[in-house]
Amino acid sequence: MPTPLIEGELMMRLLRILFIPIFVLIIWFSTVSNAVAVNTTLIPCKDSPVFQQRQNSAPDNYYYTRPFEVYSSELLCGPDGLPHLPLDRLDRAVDVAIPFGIFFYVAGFIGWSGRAYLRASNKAKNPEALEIFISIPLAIQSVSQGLLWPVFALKEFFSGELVADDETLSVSPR
Amino acid sequence: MQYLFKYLTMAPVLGILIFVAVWILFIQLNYFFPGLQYGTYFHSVP
Repeated sequence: MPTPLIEGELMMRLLRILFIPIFVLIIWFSTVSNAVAVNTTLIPCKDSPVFQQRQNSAPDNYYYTRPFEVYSSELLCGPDGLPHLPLDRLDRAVDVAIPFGIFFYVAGFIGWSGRAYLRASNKAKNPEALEIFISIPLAIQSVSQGLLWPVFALKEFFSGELVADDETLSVSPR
Repeated sequence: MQYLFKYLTMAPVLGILIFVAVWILFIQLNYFFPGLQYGTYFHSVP
């Protein structure tokens, strides 16, 4: 036979079941979310007088004329008349995502190529010599592995090969 | 000839060679795609 609930315990259960959801709903509907305002400091470069001044005073040659035309039609300029990256809107997110993606891939490519080379040279019978005199066939092999580094990194991550076990790391005496 | 090859594959020498190659590559990229900057990736150069 179940023991009868004490009054305090009953109240606590009621609180959990009833009042907490009610409080959550009250807080949910009573708070006003912040209005997201688009930054209007940045204007299209072709509308910026300072940018137009810069464009007109730039030298008329291959390295200035066409770039300035692209900036004028595509980029947003600040009060200084220079292009700036707007970080407050999603429709321009590719402007950040693409350079970041390129950087991330190149950094990973460099790192993974070196790692592949070192791992391969450590398996050879003369690892030190392979670090002083770069073996070109091994380097080409490592670099081509580095091109596909995201695939290899994911594969090694899931197989547990990406990081070394704690026992294999040397620790200085404490 | 093999000594020259061995010298060229020394890590510092090869590093400098690759650095110069990448430098030249970037100069050429800037020549073929002038104005390739943030925000102009998906737009054709007028």
